Amino acid sequence: MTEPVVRMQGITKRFGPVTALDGADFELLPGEIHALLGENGAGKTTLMNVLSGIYRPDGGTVHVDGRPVRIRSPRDAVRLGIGMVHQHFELVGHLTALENIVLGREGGVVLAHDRLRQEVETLVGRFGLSVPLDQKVRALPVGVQQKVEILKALHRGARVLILDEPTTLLTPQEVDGLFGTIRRLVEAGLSVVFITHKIGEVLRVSDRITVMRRGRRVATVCRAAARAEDLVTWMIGTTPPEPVRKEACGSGHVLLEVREVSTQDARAQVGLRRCSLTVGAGEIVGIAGVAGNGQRELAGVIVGTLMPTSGDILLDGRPITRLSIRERLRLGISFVPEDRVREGILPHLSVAENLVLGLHPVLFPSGRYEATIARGLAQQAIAEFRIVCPGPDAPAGTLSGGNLQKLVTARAFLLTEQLGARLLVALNPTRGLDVPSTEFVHRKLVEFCVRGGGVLLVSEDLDELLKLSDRIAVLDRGTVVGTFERQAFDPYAIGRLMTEGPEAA
Amino acid sequence: MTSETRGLFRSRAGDLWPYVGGIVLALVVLASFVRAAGGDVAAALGGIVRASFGSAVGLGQTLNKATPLMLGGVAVAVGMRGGVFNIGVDGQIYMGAVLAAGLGLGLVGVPPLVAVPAILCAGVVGGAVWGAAPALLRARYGVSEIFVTVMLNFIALFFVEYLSTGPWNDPLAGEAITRPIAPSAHLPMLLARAGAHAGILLALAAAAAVWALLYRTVLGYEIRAVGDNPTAARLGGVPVERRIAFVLVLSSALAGLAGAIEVAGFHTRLILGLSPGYGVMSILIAVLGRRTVPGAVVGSVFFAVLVVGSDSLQRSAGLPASGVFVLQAAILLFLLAAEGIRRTA
Repeated sequence: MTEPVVRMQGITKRFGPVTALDGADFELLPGEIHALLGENGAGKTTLMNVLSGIYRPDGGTVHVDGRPVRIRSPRDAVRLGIGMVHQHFELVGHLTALENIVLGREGGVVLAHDRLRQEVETLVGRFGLSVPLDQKVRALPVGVQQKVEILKALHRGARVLILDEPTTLLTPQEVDGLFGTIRRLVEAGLSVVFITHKIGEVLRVSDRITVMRRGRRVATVCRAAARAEDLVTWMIGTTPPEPVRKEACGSGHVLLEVREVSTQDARAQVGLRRCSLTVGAGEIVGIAGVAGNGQRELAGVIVGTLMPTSGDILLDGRPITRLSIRERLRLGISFVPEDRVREGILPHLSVAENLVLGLHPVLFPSGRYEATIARGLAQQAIAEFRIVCPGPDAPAGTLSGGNLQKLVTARAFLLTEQLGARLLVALNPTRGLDVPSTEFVHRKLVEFCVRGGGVLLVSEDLDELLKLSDRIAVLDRGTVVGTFERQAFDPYAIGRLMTEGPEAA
Repeated sequence: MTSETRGLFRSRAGDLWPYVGGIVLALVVLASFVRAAGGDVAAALGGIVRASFGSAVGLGQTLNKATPLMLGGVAVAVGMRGGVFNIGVDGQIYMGAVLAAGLGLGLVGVPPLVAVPAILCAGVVGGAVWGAAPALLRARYGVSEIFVTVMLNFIALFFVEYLSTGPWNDPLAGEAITRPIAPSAHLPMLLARAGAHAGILLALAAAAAVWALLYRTVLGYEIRAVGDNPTAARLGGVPVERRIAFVLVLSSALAGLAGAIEVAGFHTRLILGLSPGYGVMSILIAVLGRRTVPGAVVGSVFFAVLVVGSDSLQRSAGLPASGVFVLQAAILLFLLAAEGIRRTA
């Protein structure tokens, strides 16, 4: 058997009382694509952060090329040829791609511009990673920014490249491109660790698969021997719930109509451009699009945080364009915001107080805040959504990210139940949730539709949209450039429309 | 609950230790300071206790001192809860006092049952009006209340100087004080022998009312929501700007009430030095009280003991007056450091 490039044994890492890694093992062979699979919080990223010197482990050993090593800082990791591309890129937006790639490795006082450019161009040619080197990074699409990050790692001499959830923000085309890149890297002798929670991707690209759960390795298998069902079971520890299916249950009644809406923000940036859309009762309408193409604005004009400069919004045929957020809540528009911490959570207030936000004018018509009622509802929500917290009186800020997401989602559903809300606008409602919780939220969305509600689902996860939507509308530069009915879903066509706009159709 | 989750949520009793440590350190500093000045440490400590609550007169002084501090501390705390930083407590105290004194001067012959409530209401209105300007600017145009309230402090202070040396000046006093208000508008005494007026009861009642508002009403819930995360509150249908304006006016009204009580209960007239830094102390009290109403109540009493007791050190330990201020500041620093340690620990 060949000597592993990296061998990690019995790695433990604690953050205060939380044990993130509990004796985790991992081996990476030279020239392989190794998928590290697990739920959020399973310890995948933490383990790789240990390898790349961001965290120091509390216990365990690391061998690189068969020699024991101590990796005390990212600098040590770079010296050992380990490079990591994080889920959230670490690029300087106002520098060019080239400047970002060579950042920190300029060497000396005078920038050896020509030599560095030559080095990078060699790398670009060798791995087929074409990148406009002289453009500012912030103007580049996400897929290209990712290439810049990969080039940065390669330029620092990485032989082991770790990619943390690299496909999250990519279109199907960009995913194909990334996988091609990974294969070329491996052919050139690199070893790649590919962190993900998506089983389909794992089976497509990897040579071997390590599954982690609760800070430990559950299994390592070759792809040829891996069965998708086994992988899920290992990941979540039990047999997975039956995935929900969305049956067509539209009644034909148009619940929401967005009619030629345009918006402008304070800096006169155009958000939506004559955007039109309908959501019928019993329907889930998915919004696909590269982030920043008007998704936030679309949700904003519907829930009332943003006033359109022109156009109309109708609920049950009545205009609601000028109504306040509170009035819209009363009419039954419920909302799962995108950024749960910034837009959804009152961190110092209790779980119960967080849960009734938005519902409170209806729940307490007398003007008296009745803590027992709020607490009772919270108790139910905690049980139903399996929110991990000490109880309804715990400050919401002490909850973990996934549990905050559950809390914000539970609030939106509570509103639909208590108010008989009709429309749910959900932005990435399952981001950061584990598989069973995601299934649970999906089931609630579908049930809501069966009861006659309509859902506008904005998600950066195209698989989620394909699974749940009756219809998918693609947003590009603030307007709907194409709509796909369920029977005609084609991920590649959707991806093309997302990146290339209507010209592609 | 698993042991893991239990560990995540630490008990609150442990939170008190930094304060205990801070007080002990402060006492150590106090002792070495007194000794360095050649005083008797035991006598000095005994003097503090006697002066602040060990005697009837001392208790009266402490209660009188605690009254404006309590109202000010609660005023700042409730503001912070609603997301506004009211630095203008001094100005609002002065404007409350101005309106109270102005009314009090003309209340001659009015029975106390009318005069006393009237003069207190005048103070509330004075403070509220002084807070309405920054409230409006903040809610309408997003102007930071910090600047506006600070600036209004100066205006109020100079206005009082003008009144106390000009039109309302008491020619017999030869100082920057106004003529006395009508005796029927004087606040009743709580402990006549100790010289304690009933203001402390009003302050406690106001604190209780504010607490009930915050935790027992939907309005208070919305105020706390706005103070915690205005973006989330707005998405929850809370009219954020209106709540911010309300809480700033409420905060100022409490400060204005403190001004009226100082006039009607203590000085019986408007004087230039009516607020010897109550505004700054109120902020410290609110922070030390962790922005809670009960915390501000406890903190204000503690501050009153500190102020009254350390004044006595001039007599009992022979400390110079400026030394007393140094000492007060040192003790505060220790407590603030303790608060900081508690928060990061």
